[in-house]
Amino acid sequence: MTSAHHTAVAVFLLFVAVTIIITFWASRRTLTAEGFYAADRNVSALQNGIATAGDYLSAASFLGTIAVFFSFGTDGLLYALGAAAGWPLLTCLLSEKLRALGRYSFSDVLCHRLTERPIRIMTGVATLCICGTYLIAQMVAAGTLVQVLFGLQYSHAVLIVGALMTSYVLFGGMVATTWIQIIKATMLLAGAALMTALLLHRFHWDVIELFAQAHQAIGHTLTERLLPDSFSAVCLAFAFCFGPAGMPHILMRSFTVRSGADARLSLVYATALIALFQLLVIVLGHGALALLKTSHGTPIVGGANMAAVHLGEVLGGSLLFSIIASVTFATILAVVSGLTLTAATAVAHDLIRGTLRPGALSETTEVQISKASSIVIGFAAIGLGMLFQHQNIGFLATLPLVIAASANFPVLILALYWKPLTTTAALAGGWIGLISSVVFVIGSPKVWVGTFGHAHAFFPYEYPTVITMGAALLTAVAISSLQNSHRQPPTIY
Amino acid sequence: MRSRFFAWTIPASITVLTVAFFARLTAHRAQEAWQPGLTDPTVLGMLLIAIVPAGAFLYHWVATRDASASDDEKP
Repeated sequence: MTSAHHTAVAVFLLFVAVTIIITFWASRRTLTAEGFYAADRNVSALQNGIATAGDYLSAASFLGTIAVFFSFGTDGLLYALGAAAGWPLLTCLLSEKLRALGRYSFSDVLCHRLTERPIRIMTGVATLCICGTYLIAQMVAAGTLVQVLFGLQYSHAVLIVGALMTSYVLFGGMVATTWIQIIKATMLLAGAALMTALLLHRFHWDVIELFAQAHQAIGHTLTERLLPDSFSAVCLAFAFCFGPAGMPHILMRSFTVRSGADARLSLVYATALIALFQLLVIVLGHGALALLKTSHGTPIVGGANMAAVHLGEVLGGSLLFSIIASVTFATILAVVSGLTLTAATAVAHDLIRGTLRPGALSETTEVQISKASSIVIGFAAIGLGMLFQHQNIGFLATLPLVIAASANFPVLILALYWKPLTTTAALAGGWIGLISSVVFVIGSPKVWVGTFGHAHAFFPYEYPTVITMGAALLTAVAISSLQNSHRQPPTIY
Repeated sequence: MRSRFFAWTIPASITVLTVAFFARLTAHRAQEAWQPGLTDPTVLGMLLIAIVPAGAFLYHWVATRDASASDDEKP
């Protein structure tokens, strides 16, 4: 290992030490269900806002968006704008109602007016699909990154991430997860702000000069496009705009604050932090183009995904390289712990509670099942991370947003704002959205041809969100309307 | 209640602008030469990102005022 690797490992170990202390402190507050799942509903709006931003800003937001700028030029704007675009919908339409009607998972909100058992099973399966694909993507990303960042083996990285995320959730529950997200979001924002300041300083604080040089590099080297057609672009926009409103680990954060007004305010904070971060990423993406892209298009070590880290090295030497490397790894660790908690909640609170008769499961037993589930999920994530080591993670990273927008969002928005919705309609819409989104993403050219090596894709576009979300909404509305039209009108006389 | 109006119009406006931006940027490659101005995709994208938290804050402000007004009306 080089001295840069040693510094990176030291900074990362410091982060791990702090998070383990937090987990130990939080372990005394996770004995009850409310403490384990919702941090006793005692998180302030600002704390929850930072933690929510931390939950959403994964390594893909940082490394991935800068990599898209580096590879496809201004197409990186799609990822930067998309990451911020879905948050007003959550803030304005969902935050207060979620806090008022939900307890530990968003399925509680649906169960207020729909039949509990089948709804919990459907949302539990959707949550596991979303968290599972997101977890695999993060584990594969962690393993791949660590080879370049720390000089460790892939399998070691996956084991370290799996063991730490399970410990955080098992002992610290939502309290530890929230504080880990707060620390990580602060580190990520501070790291991006420092890099941006150094970058602008290099260009004498002249943003126009930076953009001009970046565009010059685009003109020299870029020939490919991120998306092949406008329909795929619209589908990706739909995934970004409606996906966050169906992401279970984001929705779960609304239950940790004291009131509906706090839930709304926390999402205003989260939106502001995410938008600020994306603005910094746009500047850094142009910096990567201007400083790393040569006229010959020489590939950089570790590929385009490492552009952000190499930019850190160009701007601040091996010290900044080490800091950015460790912040990136800490980012992955924090995101996977949030996902593990959400998946454990889905198993215990939705799937197991959903299949048992009402009242058969005490809250203490449910928390114990959740904790046991987090261990199983940890082992499964390690195994899947090893299994998918050589797979294309591009589709795994976008699949959660597509599934969330197609399966969870239509059912949730209709349940909250459309009175005629029936249980059968919600189930049909949710299952159709879930199954069609998974099938069409697998059948897309990127996966069916790019990953599985078939000659032709059976779904012609990169993303299916417009079709799958539309199908879920239309099915739910059509079945509700049919069922309501067959009902007998109330007898007046 | 003004907040109910803003609760739908703010996310709807941002969604429409985002979808239009995605479709437009994918259909037409950005100019190679950097031209500062509102028509440049980078400037437009950054402006749209800046609008997003402004919209969320506007809704929060209106909803807070609505809530305090309805509290005042209570006997």
